[in-house]
Amino acid sequence: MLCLPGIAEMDERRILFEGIDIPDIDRAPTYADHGGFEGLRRAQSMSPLALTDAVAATGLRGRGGAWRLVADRWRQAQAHGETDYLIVDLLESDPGRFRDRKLAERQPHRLLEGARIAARAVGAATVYTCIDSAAVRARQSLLQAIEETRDESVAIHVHPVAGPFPLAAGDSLVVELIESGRAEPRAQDHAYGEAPQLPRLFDKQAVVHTASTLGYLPSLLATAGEVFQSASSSWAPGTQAFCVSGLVRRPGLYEVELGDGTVRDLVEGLAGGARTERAIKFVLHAGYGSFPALLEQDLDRPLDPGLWADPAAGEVSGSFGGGSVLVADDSVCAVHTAQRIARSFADSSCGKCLPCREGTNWLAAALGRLEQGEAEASDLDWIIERCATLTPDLSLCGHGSSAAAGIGALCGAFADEFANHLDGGCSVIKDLSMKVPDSIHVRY
Amino acid sequence: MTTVTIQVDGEALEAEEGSNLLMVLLDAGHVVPHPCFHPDLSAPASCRMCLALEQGLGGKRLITTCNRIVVPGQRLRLQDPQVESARGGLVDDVLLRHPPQCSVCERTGECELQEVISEQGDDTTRATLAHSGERVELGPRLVLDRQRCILCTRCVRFEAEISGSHGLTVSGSGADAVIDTCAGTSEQQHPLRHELSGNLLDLCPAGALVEPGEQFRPPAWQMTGVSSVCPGCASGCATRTDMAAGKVQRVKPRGDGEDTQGYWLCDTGRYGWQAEIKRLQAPELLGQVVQWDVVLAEVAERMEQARNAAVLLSPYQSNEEIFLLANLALRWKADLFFWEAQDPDGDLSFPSGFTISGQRGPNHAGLAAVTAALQLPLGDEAHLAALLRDKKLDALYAVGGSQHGEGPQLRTSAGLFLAVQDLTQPGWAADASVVMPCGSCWTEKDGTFIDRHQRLQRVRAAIQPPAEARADFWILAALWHGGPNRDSPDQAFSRLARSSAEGPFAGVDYGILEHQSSPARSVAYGGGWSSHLQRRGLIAVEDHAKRQ
Repeated sequence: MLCLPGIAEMDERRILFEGIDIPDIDRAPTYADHGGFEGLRRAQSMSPLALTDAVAATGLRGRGGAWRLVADRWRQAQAHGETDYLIVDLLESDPGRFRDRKLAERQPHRLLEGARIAARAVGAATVYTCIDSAAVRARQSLLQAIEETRDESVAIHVHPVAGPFPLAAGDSLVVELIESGRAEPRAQDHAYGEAPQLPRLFDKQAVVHTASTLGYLPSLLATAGEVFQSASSSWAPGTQAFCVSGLVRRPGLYEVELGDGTVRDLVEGLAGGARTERAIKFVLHAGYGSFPALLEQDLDRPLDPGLWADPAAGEVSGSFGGGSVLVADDSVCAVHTAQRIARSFADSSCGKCLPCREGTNWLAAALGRLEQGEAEASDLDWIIERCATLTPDLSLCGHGSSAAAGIGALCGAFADEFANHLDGGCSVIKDLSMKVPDSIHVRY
Repeated sequence: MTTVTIQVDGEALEAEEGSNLLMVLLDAGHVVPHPCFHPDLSAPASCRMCLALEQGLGGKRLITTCNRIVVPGQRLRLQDPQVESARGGLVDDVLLRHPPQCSVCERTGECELQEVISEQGDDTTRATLAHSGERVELGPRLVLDRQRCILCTRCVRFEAEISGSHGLTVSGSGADAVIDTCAGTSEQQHPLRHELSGNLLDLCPAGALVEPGEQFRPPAWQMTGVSSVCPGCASGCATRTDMAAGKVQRVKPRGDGEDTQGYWLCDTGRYGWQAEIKRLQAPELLGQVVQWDVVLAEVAERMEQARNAAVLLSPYQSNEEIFLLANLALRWKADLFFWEAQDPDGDLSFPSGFTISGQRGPNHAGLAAVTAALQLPLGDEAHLAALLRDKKLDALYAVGGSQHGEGPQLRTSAGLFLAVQDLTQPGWAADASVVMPCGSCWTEKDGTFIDRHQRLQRVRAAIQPPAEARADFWILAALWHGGPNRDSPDQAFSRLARSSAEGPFAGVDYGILEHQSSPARSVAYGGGWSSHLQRRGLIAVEDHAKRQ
C-alpha cells in the first residue's frame, strides 16, 4: 500500500526496510506478527558482553557516515564504566538524506527495538531520540510506538530540536542539543590515534547511534547474524539505504547490498539515470561534503565503503558518506551548485569555531560573486586556497572541513568552468522545463 | 603529578603530566596566539589559533593545544610551515569582519587580536564583506561593539563560570551569531549589574567590550603600571594602577601571582579610587587652616601632656603606619584601640570562589599582627566608646582613611583633645581640635598590608595626596621624629621586622616583597599584547613611589 516513490525491485535487498510495505507495520501487533521483537527477546536472554560479542561477529558498522564498528563503541562504553544514556541521532542534517526519518515514520518499532537492544548492551536505562522538529510525522509515529510498547526497564524520550544543524559534527552535537538546546558541537580532545571519547550528557556517559544503525540490530539478533552472512563486502557487511535525489528519473530510497554493484548501478540502474536528452554531469555521492565529485567516467566505483575509506585496500578514495546521493545533469552549473553548497553550509554553521563561521560565510559570498560574473581572479585563488587549507583538524567539527572538501572537489573537477565564470559568467544552458531547474537538492 | 618530558620543536621541555598543554607552552616562552582561551575559564577550542603539529606514530596532524593535556613523550612542532599556513588562514578569517582601524580603537596597544595579527598576519586580506553590528549598552560601564566582536565567548563563559550571573549568551547561528544578553537591554534595566562586571573589559581579546568614554584615555603605551594591592576589602587582590600624564587612569587586576584571586577584581576595587568625595585640603587647628609644623607641634605637645590618652588605629593604615603610631602611643603612654569596618551582610562569594570580604578594612589582620609583634594590648571600639562616655579620656588621636564612608561610630564631649587624621571631615568628629588631611589608600599609600589570608603584600603609591594633604606615613614619621626626616616605609618595616622574633614580619624585608609581587609574569592573559610589552620593557611596571 504505502510504497516509497521510486522504489524499484531490481537489485534491491532490504534488511533495514524489510516489510516497509506491509500495511500497519507501524503498529506493535502487526510488527510482532511479522517477526518483530524476536531480536529483543534473544538479546534479553544474553548477557551484555555476549550480546556485544554476537554483534561484533556480524561486523555491523555505524551508518551515519563514519563507518565505525558498533561493537567497538559498545566495548569502549563498557570499559569506561557505567553508561547512563543511549542517544538515537535522528537529525539527518545532510541535505538530501531522508532515510532515518522514513525508518522512524514507517518502522518505528524496528528502530525502538534496536534502541532497546543497544541500551541493553551498554547498560543504559534512558534513551533519548533526538529528532529534527521538522520531521513531524516521524515524531508522531515514534511517540505512538513508544506508547504501545512502554515498559519499565528502559525509559525512551523523544526530544525534538530545531535546526539547522552542522553536518558531520560528531556525537557531541546531539548531547549539546539535549543539554543546552544550541546546535554547537564540542571540541574533541582525544590523543592521536585514539578513538573519539564517548560524549557526556549531564555529566554521565552516553552512547550515540544513528537511527539506521540501530535498525539493523533486530534482524541481526533474530537471525543470529544470518542476514549479513552472504555479504559481498567483508569490511562493511550488510546493506545501505541510499537516498538518491536530484536530476534523475526516479529519485528515491534504494537499499542495496554493499560491495554488490557500483555507483553507476545505483544512479543509472535503480534511479533510472539522467532524463531524456540529458547526461549525468556529476554525482555527489556523500551529499554536500562529497569529495571527489564523481564525473560520468568515475561512476564505476564500487559501492563498498571499505574500498573508499582505506586507500591501501583499493585504488579509489574519497568520502563514501552516509547515504545521501545527489545527481546533477548537464543542465546544472557547477559554480551555481558550489555556491548553493556554500550557502547551505554557511546557513547551517553553528558559528562556534572561527574558520567555519567566517570561512563558509565568505565562501558563499565569493562564490556568489563568481556566479554573477563579478569576481576577480584573486577571488578564485582565495576560494581554492581556503578550500585546501580548511582541513578536518582546523575546524572544530566536520562541518567546516566538509564544506571545504565539497566545494574544493567541484573547483577541482570543473576548473575550466570556474575560470570561465571570471570572464562573463555561465556557459551552461539551463533547462527551464524543470520546476527547480537549478536545484539538485530535493528535500524530503 | 609527575614531571615528564615532551619535545617542542625538537627541544626537550619538562612539564607536569596532565597539565594544560597551552599553559605549559606559554610558560616556556613560546608564542602561541589564543584569543579564545583564558587560564581561568573552560576551553571551547573555538578560535583554533593555538595550533601545534603533533607527531604521532601514525603521522602528523594539527591539534589545538588549549584543550589538550601533557602526556609523556608528546612531540610537537610550533615552527612549521603547516602550522603557519593554517594559522595564517585563521588570521585572515578573523579579519574578514573585524574592522582593521586599530589606530582609532581604544584598545590599541593592549589588544590580543592586534598582537596576533601583527605577529602572524601576512599583510594581505581577502576581506570583502561589509562590516555589520551595532554598539549595545550592556551595563552602566560596559558597551559591546558587535562590529569588533570575534565571538571568542570569553565573556559568556565568564558570566557562567566566574560571576555565575549567566548574563550573556550567544544568539543566532553561523555568521549571524552575536553575543547577546539573556535579559534584553534597556536603559533602565542593565543586564550586567553584578560586582564583577568590570572584568569583562579585561577579558575581551578584540576590544569589543569597552567602557564608555574609554577612547578619551591615553593609549596603553603611554601608561605606567604601578603594582599594588586593592584596599577595597580584606581579600587582598593584586592590582595595577595605570598612570599617564601624572594622573591615575584606571585600576586593573594584576593577575600575575598565586597570591591573587585569579585574574579578577571586583568593581569596587576597579572603580573605588574614583569615589567623588570632598577631600580635606589643608591641616586645621580649631577650625583655622594652619601650617603643618604648627599642627604637628600642637598634637605632639597635647598628646604628651595628656594624663589619659588614647590612640585609635584604623584598618586602612599600612603595617608601617601602625608600627609608627603604636610606638608613638608608647611614647604618649596612650592606650591602643582599633575600629573595624565590618559589612553587616558578610562575605559576598561567587561560584568561582571569588570572595569580596565582609571585612572592609584591607589591613585588619595587619593591625592585629603589628600590635601582637610589639606585644601591646588592643581595645576595641566599644571599649573606647565606654571610656569616652565616662569622660575618662582627655586626649584621643584617631585615624580614619576610608574613601567610602566607613569609620568609627563615637561620641565625644567637650574637654577632649581630639586629633583626627582622615580623608574627609568625619561626622563624629565635627568638633575635632586638630584635623590632618591624609592620603587615600587607593593610590596614595606606600607600605604593606596583610590580608585575611595572612598574606603580606606590598602596597604602592602612584600619586601624591592633593593640595596640602600628606601621606599617612609622612604625618606619623614627622610626629615620631619631631620634624622633617628621611624615614621611609622601607626603614620602618625593617625596624618592625627586627622587633618581631616570629610572626608574619620576622625575617622579611622589602627586597623579598618586591620579588614576590613583581608583576609582568608571562601568564597574565597568556602572552597577550600587554604582557609582551611588559616583558620587552615597554610598559615598565616598577616601584613608582621609589623612583620619586
